[in-house]
Amino acid sequence: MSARDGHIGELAAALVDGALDGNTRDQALAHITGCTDCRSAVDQQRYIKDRLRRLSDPSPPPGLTDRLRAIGNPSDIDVSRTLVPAAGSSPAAGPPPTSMPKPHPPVPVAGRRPGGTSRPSAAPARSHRRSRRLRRVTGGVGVVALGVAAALTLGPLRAQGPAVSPPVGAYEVEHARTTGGVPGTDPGAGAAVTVSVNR
Amino acid sequence: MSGAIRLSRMVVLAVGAGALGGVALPALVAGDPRADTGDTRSVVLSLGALPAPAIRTTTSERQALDLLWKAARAGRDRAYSGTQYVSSWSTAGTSSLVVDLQHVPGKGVLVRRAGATTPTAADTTGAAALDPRPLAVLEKHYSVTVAAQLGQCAGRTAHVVEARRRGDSALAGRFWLDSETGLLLRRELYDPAGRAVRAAAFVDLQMTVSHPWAAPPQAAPAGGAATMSTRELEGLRRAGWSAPAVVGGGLELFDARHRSGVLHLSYTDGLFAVSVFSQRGHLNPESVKGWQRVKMNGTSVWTRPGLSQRVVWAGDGWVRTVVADAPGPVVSATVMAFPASADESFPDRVQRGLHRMASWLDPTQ
Repeated sequence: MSARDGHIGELAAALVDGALDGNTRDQALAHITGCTDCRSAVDQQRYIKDRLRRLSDPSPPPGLTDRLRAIGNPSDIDVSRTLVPAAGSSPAAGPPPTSMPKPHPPVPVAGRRPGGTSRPSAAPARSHRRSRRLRRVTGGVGVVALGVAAALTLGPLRAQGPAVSPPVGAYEVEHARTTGGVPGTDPGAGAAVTVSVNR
Repeated sequence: MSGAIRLSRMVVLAVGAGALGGVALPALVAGDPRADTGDTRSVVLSLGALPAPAIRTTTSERQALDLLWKAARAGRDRAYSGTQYVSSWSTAGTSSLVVDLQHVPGKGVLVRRAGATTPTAADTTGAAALDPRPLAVLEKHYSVTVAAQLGQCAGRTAHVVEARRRGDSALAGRFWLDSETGLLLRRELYDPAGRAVRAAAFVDLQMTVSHPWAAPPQAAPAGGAATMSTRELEGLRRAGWSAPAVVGGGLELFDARHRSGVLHLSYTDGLFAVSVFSQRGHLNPESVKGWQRVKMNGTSVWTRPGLSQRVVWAGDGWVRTVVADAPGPVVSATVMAFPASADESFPDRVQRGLHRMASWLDPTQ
């Protein structure tokens, strides 16, 4: 299976990367069940890989997607939520946003009157925003109200009946028996070796 | 006069149809795999689950399904022995187990930890290979195809069958099936992100059992209760027992057993399986000492990592235990399908209600 002494050795990284062929991986996974050193090596590799994956996957600031979408739709830009504050709006505002492209003026479309749908006036736009906010607030209140209703229908809060200690080990065996082939022939529940690897 | 004859004919027909239904329906609903003689596909499996949609299968799909059904029969009819590893991955960590096992047709599977001298667990139903009941559900949720190239496992040549989710076509499972005997040699299951969550494979296999082990006392058939009929289950539901037909965003109820005050419900979508055990009472805190207390969609539960995910929670006069071979989100959604935890605060319950509503809109949550 491995390079030296029947241990996984440098194959640990390939195992974690899923780069081993089926037979070698079967042997390696079976081996780490009984070999503490190799299990630790695989554990470490997974930990490192997990950390690297998190580093390469930064989460965008909240609301960034909405603001980026708004750039392509000038009529939807909310002045109060532009990416960079206007120059002079605050002492700490920094340099004016020279690098920010200004919204392109709408291109007149043949056959459309100025002030038509392609170039809305300020008043309808404000009204549109207001009604959209109103819809959001109404929707939010509605969702919360439904959540409260659902919570109230989930049953009373008090504890009832005799004290129960679920025989989880027996349940695992029963689960393996009943689900049969679903867990892939693993009725030896409760005797597994657990490696503390976070994914 | 002719009207009276017509009426009597109708009565005779109605009684006859009722008698036929009385004989045929319990067997159909129970879907007992032990009664399978190779035509289990026609058995109605679900205990009140959603009706099966009409699925048009391609030639490749039929070929793959035939291989899987052949594997189910081989697991029941062939004698074999060998060593198998099982690994599962979850947010809590990785669990692995290596077992020696023997299967003698008609006697079931005996399993013992590799190197041990006595068997520690047994499956007397002989269902430790591919179970035909979940396999019938598989067709509803996944499309299966045979890979163009043969694979290898435990030194044997194998057909590779891939199962992809109907809808997004994401790979959800792979089966390696012995090209000679049809036996399931290796299986891997993946979460929606494509990460392996469970794998089991033979590392050594013989198609004989040279020295059969003596069955341990706990291997007696009395170990499990009989499958309930839908009528019996309906009776329990009317008496206040919670038994959803579908949980976890699509896992269907396919088996229900009731014994000694414990209701055991089994759910599957054909690949992943979840068992829910319910009993009346409140949770003895001593029984979950050493377990980790976490929130699942607003519900306080106790969990413990292992080969199968184990979750215990209490609420509304019931204690429930989930044993699952499924990705974390499926387990969370299963917990949500049952009444809330007793010690939940009101905001938690509101949050849980919102999560539950979100799951109605998006079953993957």
